[in-house]
Amino acid sequence: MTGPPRRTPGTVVRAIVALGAPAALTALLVKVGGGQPRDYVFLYLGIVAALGVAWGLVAALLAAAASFLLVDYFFVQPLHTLTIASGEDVINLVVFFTAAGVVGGLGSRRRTSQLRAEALTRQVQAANEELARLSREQAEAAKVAVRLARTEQQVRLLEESDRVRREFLATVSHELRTPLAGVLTTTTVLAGRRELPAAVRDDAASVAEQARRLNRLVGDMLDMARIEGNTLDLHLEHVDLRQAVVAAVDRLHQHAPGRTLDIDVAADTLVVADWDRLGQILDNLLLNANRFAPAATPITVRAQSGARDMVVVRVIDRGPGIADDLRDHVFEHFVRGPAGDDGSGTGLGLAIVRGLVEAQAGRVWVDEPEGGVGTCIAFSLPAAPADAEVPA
Amino acid sequence: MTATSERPAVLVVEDDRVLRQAVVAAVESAGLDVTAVGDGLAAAEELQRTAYDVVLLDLGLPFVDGWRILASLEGRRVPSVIVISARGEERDKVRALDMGADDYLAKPFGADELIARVRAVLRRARPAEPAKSTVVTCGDVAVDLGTQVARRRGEEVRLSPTEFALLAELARNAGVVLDHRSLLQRVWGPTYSGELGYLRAFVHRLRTKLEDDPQRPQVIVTVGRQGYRFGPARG
Repeated sequence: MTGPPRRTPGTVVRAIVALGAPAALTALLVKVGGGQPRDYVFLYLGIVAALGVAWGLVAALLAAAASFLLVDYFFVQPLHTLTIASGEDVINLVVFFTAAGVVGGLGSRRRTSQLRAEALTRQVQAANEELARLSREQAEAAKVAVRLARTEQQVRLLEESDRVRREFLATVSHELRTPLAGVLTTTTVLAGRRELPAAVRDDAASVAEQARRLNRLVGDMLDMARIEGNTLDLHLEHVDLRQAVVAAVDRLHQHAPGRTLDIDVAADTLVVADWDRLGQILDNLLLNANRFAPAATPITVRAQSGARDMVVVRVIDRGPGIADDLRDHVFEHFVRGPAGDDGSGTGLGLAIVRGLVEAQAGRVWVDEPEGGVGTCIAFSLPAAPADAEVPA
Repeated sequence: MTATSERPAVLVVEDDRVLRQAVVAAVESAGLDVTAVGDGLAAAEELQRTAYDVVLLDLGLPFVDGWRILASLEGRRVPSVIVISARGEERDKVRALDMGADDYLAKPFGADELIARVRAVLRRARPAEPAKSTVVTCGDVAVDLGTQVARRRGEEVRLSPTEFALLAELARNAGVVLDHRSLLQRVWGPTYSGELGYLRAFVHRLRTKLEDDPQRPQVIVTVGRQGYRFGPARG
């Protein structure tokens, strides 16, 4: 490695120095005096050689010419003229000038070689730096490639784990529901056989009811596993909320034909949701309300625009309400209200509601019922623009 | 109806022995002829040999799985297919309907529910009162409500019983918008009003078979969020 290239003086400066240095030497020698002028030649030769090495042939020749004239004028007889009396002095001066030219030329060649070497060194240095930079970049690229490969491996593992989890849940569902299907279909066939004694048919109907209840529990537990394992299959789209509420009310009426339901949802209220999972949320809330509220009381489903482009849906009943100490826990697993429950619930309904609402970017909470009577469960979902397309 | 009996014939394809027996008992209790097989190969042979009105088809079967049986029945007039599955995956239901199943029943189910579904597909396939031989047309599609045949450019279009039932309901009300809920209740039954997935799957299938460009339908037109209409608006 070499240092930064030396700055060389300009042509004018070099010329001044080439002429000035012999002049300065001459002034010094004239002042000091003494010694043989012939000996001075070596001092001039030294200046020429130094300039030749430092600045090249032109500077050396310029200094040699100046030295020649100055020596001739000040030290060669006759003094103070440019005339040379002795033939020996002529030869001496010619030899001096030639020697100066040769020394300057050699110095100049050395100088050129030095400059070439310096340029080469700089090129090698630049190449080394480029090589080092490429090495660093290569190392960085290798690190990025390793990180990418690790990330890809993690994604593959997650996908595989997700697939295994889904497959596992599907298998669990199959393995639990197949025997349940045998029990439920068989017992419902028995319960319908009029040739059997009534007591047997009643017992068969009881077993069938327990099988249905067990199936609800299996379904709810599988849904909780999907929610907690983030393996819900959500098909989010623009959903007409009123249509979804009407469909859920239709389903509730199949279980409870006599129940009065008030729907206060404006037409063209659009939300971003999964149609089936929104239906499940509404079913769970309506079944809860139907389970706890006295049969003669109405259930209201109301939707209003909320803050931050959300639509808030409230399911309101006139039942016994939720005890204060339960309000903060109703959305947890297996938390049940003590009063009015007919035992048909699994204790997971509201936990599933919360999981499904939150998976669809909404929120669910216990709201204050109107007039302080009954229960009001509210949930929010993102609103879709009023002019949004719904799927064909 | 099968050639040998006035009673509708039902084929039960289910590998679980207990459930198969229970389903057979339930179907018999409804006064229908029933045959049961326990694997896909036997089902394929049985379907080759005998004309059934309804197939109750499990999906996970030995030898030949239920999906392949379902695919082999695409475009048939009979039998109606009700898929029965315990996997509980919503995507299975969507796939089954897309592949032409007439209905999807998740296990477990009670005998009453099963019989109601069987009767519903039978009703769709054989309306109690055949319509007069009225032909409703839209462009080069003609729907004969009497003979229950749809034609496109004179060629018969192969439709499943439920596909034809939906098309017929729309054609009977040509030019009028039918909302989703009404269509589901009229074609599938009163308990189906929320099953938008059924309607979408069958409209998609009908468009694929009837429209020149299913992306720009002219025969079964989507009318905003309200519903569907057969042909251009009336009046």
